[in-house]
Amino acid sequence: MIRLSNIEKAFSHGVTKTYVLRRIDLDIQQGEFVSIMGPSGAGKSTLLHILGMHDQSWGGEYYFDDVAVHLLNPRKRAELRNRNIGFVFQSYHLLDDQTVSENLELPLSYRDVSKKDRQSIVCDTLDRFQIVGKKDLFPSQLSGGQQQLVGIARAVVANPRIILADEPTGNLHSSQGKEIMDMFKRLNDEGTTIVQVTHSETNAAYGNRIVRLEDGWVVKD
Amino acid sequence: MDSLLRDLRFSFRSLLKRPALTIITILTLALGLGANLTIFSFVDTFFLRPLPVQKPYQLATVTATRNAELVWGYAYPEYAYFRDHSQSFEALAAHYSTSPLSVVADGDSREASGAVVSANYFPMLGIKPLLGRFFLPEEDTVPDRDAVAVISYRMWQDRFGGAPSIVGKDIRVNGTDFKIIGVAPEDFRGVSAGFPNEIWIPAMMLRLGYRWCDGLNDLGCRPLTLLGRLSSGRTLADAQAELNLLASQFAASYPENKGRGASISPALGVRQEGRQELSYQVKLLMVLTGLLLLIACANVAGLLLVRGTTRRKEIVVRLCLGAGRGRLVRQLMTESLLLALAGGALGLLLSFWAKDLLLAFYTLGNGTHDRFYELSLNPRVLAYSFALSLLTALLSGLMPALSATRQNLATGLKDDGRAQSSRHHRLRSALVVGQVALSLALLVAAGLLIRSARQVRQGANFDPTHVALLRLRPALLEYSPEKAQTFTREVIRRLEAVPGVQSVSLATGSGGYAWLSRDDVRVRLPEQTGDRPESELEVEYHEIAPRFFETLKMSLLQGRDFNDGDRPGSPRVIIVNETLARQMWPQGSPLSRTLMVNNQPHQVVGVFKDAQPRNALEAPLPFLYLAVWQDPKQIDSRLVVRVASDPQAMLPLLRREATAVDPRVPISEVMPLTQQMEANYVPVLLTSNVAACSGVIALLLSMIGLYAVLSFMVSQRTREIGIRMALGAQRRDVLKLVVGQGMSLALIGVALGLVTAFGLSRVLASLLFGVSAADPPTFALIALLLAGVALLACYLPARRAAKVDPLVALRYE
Repeated sequence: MIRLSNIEKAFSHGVTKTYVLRRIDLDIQQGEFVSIMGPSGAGKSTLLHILGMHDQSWGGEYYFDDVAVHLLNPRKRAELRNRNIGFVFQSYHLLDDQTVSENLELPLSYRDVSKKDRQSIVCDTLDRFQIVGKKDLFPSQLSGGQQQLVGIARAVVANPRIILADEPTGNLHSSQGKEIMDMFKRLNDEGTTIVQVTHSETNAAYGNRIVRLEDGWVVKD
Repeated sequence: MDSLLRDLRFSFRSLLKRPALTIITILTLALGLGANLTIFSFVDTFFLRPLPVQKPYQLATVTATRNAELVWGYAYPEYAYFRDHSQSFEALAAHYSTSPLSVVADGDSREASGAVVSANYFPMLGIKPLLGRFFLPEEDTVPDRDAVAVISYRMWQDRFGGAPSIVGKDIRVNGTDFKIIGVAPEDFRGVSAGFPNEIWIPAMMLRLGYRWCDGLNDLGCRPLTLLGRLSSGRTLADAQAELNLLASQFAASYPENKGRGASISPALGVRQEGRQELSYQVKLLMVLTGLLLLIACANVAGLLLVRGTTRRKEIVVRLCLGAGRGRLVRQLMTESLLLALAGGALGLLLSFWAKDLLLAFYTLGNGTHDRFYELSLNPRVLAYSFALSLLTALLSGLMPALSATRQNLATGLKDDGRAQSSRHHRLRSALVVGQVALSLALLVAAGLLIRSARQVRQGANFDPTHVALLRLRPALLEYSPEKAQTFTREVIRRLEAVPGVQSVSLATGSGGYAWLSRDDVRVRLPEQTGDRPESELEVEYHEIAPRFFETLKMSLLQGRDFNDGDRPGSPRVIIVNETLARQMWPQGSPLSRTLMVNNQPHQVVGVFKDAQPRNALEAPLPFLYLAVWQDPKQIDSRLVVRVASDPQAMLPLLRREATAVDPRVPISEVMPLTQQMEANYVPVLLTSNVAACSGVIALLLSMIGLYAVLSFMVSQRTREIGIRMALGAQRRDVLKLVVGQGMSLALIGVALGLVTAFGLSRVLASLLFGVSAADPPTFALIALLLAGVALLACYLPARRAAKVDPLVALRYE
């Protein structure tokens, strides 16, 4: 599904260069649950954002379903991303002034889904995540766990083939974290590929593969 | 005092810390305040400025009344009775300050703006002559005897080169030999603001200065205005009561004066009869510039709200440290006050420049009277500047100060300001909507007025371009009507022979203009009886010579122009306009019909298109033309000369030709017809210019306001935009989001503005010529223009928003 070859990312400071990622080669198959681990500053989140096609400035080759992402212009990359990828953030990143159902509707509105279909998909998703009762609440009226649940619901609402999650339980206490990881597991079991960045061995244990990064290098896969 | 100084010190520091914001705020306020101060300098001159004489606040103007209504002037006997019996006035003078006098000196004949004044005029004002002396009491006792004159400093310089030997020099005034006895001080130009005098003659020479009737003996002839110095301890009310009593005593002996009285007012600003029109104009200008100031205040309030948001932490910390809210509001208001005072000072400088531009309109002469207004800086203007700056500080600063200090201390130190910005955002949005609405109203007003100005410049069904004017005044030389006609015909013959001249005609222009008249005649059909005045129609008329219509390119609908056969003794003929024709003869042609004009039968020989410009409030009026050569009394005339090239360039040649016939005959109003028309439509032209300038500034300010709000919104919503992009939003989605938000504000503003403009245009209706107050194209065009500019103002911050890097935006994690 995903093939990274010799991916590098660096920041220039005058004549010197600081590498964040070095010669990353990585294959991710459809249906895998991959955990990217490593110390702070290892390049985990950067790698995730390259996978998610948010980061445009890197070197190397990136193939998504044999499509050469590194050769696509930003617009084509965005189309590819919108068709296939969902995101879950550590800080949930729900929009404060939008209700739960409006937050869920947001990704669909960027994918030219008709209003009628959007409403139907949002209803199904609310039902699936058992948050129908919360649909008219604003994020500030939810607990952290509930907010992250909405964050995951929002990530899957457009039916992505892969979910990229950046420290999804980082802001939650352990019982809420467990619920979230159970949800990821369930999604993975249903066929969605999951790639998560995590510091937690427990969370990594939900997956079937761990990629370890240190100083930008893959040290263990 | 100490805390005030501390506030001032801190405010200075705070303003200097954000120089860009401070400069933009001061400039914005300066534009709004400058416009208002400019208009106030005219208010001051027209209504508040005292005369440049000794103890001017003791002077009072006496305006005649009849049955408590203001009426024009006093006859000399009435004045003399008041002067001799009044105790309330230490001195009471009479003057007729708009006397056109033909002054011939050293063979050069020119018309001068003269004043006929009582001998106590100068002593009462308390001024001293620059040279020679003023009138002696004995020079003002015998009618027509003492031909002595005082001239102005300007005339002394301009016509006599400032010659020290001027006193004792002989000149000829309206055909009579006069001796110059003195020169007035340099800063004294008479007592009628706007009508500077160049020469003064004694009241006993009134019959020479005012020729329409005998102002010295005839009680019905009332050219004089009275000006008095109140006795010590007497008030205006005392004087009014006394003069009313004297008026009724006088009326007891002269029953025709029954009901006459006096209204006393401080001698400030312009003459009483000019006040109403000027007051309407100035109020209108104050409304327009007031709107501009409101827009500027809203703009600044928006900027201060933004600044309040960025200073939130500082304010919360101060509150946590125990500062009271009132204390903080005072601190913030001190900053607003400093900004407003700086804006006021800069605005005052701008107004020096702007008032000269406006003055050009007010001094546009129609050629009959020169205009001059004194607009120098004085304590009243300074006081007004200060007061308006204070008001501006309050308008622009109070709401942001109250809003910035309304903080939740529990969350204030923790959150990143987004919670507050949503509240502030509503306020800022409301301010932007208000600015857009007011700008649209101003722009629509400007659009309507500009169209109106274009219409009046173009003329209504006539073509004023390429037409030169000359006013011939043989009456000032006491020409007989026959001699005057011979003179005028000869001038016309010579002008027609000048190369480049296409046609020449004349009109009496009794209303003061060559192309229109404001005098009425009574008309009726012959079958209607003349003993019932209510069945007669009052119709404005114009006396013209043949080829008048050709010269002004007016359209003949039926019949013929006047011709040389229309002379004294031949059947009296008239030409009517289409409105009069329709009114008198709804069925059939009016040609060859008879109309009684002032009870004299006249035959209709032609029908012309309506050519009287009318404003949006007025329906076309009936109008008729009389043949000037059939009127043996008529001796003064205004020539209209159509030329092939630029009329301005032709003027010297035309004047030379006219002067060659008789160099002594005063010639005035030598100007292109378009210039005289502009003088007649000063209110339209002036208001359209002020509205256009205010509209453009308002548009600029409101777009800056919209841009600032959106820019701030984008900066506040960087994280949100990043999330949206991470969730799949593309560049166009972000553009749509930001532009949509900005345009929704702009469009609400446009909708409200259209309603406001509709109301404002009603106020302007009397200045709208040839354009309706609800002119759809103007409304639509301005709304589109504003929406288009708003789109641009929205696009720039939207483009910045679309460039947000989601990675940077999400780096909050």
